[in-house]
Amino acid sequence: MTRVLTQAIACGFALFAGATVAQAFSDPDQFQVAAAAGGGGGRYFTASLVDGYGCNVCHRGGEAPKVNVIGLPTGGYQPGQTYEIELSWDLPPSLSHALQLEVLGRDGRVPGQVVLLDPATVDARGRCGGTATGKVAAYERVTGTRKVLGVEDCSAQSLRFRFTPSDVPDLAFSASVITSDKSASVENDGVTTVRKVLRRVGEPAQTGDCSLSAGRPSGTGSLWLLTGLLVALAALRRPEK
Amino acid sequence: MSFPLKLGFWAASLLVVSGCADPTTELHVPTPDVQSFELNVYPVLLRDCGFPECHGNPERFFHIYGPGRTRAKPKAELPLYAPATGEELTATYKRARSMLAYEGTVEESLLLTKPLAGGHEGHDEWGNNVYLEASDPSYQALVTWARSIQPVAASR
Repeated sequence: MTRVLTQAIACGFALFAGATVAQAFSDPDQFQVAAAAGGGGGRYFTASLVDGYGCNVCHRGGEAPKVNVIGLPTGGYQPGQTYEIELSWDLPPSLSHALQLEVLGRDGRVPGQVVLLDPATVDARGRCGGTATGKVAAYERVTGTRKVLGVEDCSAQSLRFRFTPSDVPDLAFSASVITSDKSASVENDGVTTVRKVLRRVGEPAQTGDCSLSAGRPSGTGSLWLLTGLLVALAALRRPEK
Repeated sequence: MSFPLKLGFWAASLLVVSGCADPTTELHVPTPDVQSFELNVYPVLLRDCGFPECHGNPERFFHIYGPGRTRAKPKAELPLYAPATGEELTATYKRARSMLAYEGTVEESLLLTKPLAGGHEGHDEWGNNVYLEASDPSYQALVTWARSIQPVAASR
């Protein structure tokens, strides 16, 4: 076992010396491309229960974006009623944003209708460059039972869509938003994950229904290891009396 | 440093280095099929594990190289979306093989326990892990590969 581990570690360090960290997916279609060909393999990184991951599994190092969500029926939704929802963010000129979101029921399907606004009605904030003549930054992709809405990394400032829930007791809204430094790499990007469980009017609320957090894979193991090393170093460096 | 403190430190270090091993146990290091790995397991690892902040990070013991992810060579030598090289496949295979080492049954190996309820650090604040249940087809691909091999006993 020791020999195997030693060989593997040696091999890893040799390769690591010249390793290249991945770049961000600049084309939304790349998320659907097979993983062996360099795509997401069907993962859109919406942070939903079906997808599992948010943008934070790749992007790192930047300040997490401040995301405003308006219009979500957090007090309970009425089946069949249409809600207009907007996600927006403050945008320093040097940065851009991108996001992926989806709404899912417990069966992993879209619980109702989720549609982008008519492109003709999208204002400047929803267009690339934040200009009235810019390309509409939002896109949608249907994959299996899922429908993912996204915003391209092109300096738009908001995403608006309409949601008409079906008659299900609850559903989950999830979005993963990145602040990009426009470098096309995954470095120096911040991530915020938004997840909310919504319930039909009259359904009892539960604790933990809402979540808004700066996403980051946990690293408690590394933290404990670092703490142990620091304690050991401190003990060794302590002068004898 | 006082003598008792020194003694404690070195004793603790020895335990860490030895992994608190029971010398009577036998560790099995399987030699799984390479072709099956490349066809069935490598795509799963790329899709579900090989992200720069997770097991695409070469600083981690179990790391994965591949197209659209972390590459084994600089961009000038190996374009981001070029097919996986033999070097990358071999390196990833060796790491995956190491993660299959086990003492009792292969189901107890790190590769099969960590993605579920085995203490994987990739779970989120809601407790979700890489695979929500063992019946996930991607997880089953790992299981099938792991079970299809004959173990080789290794001395410790």
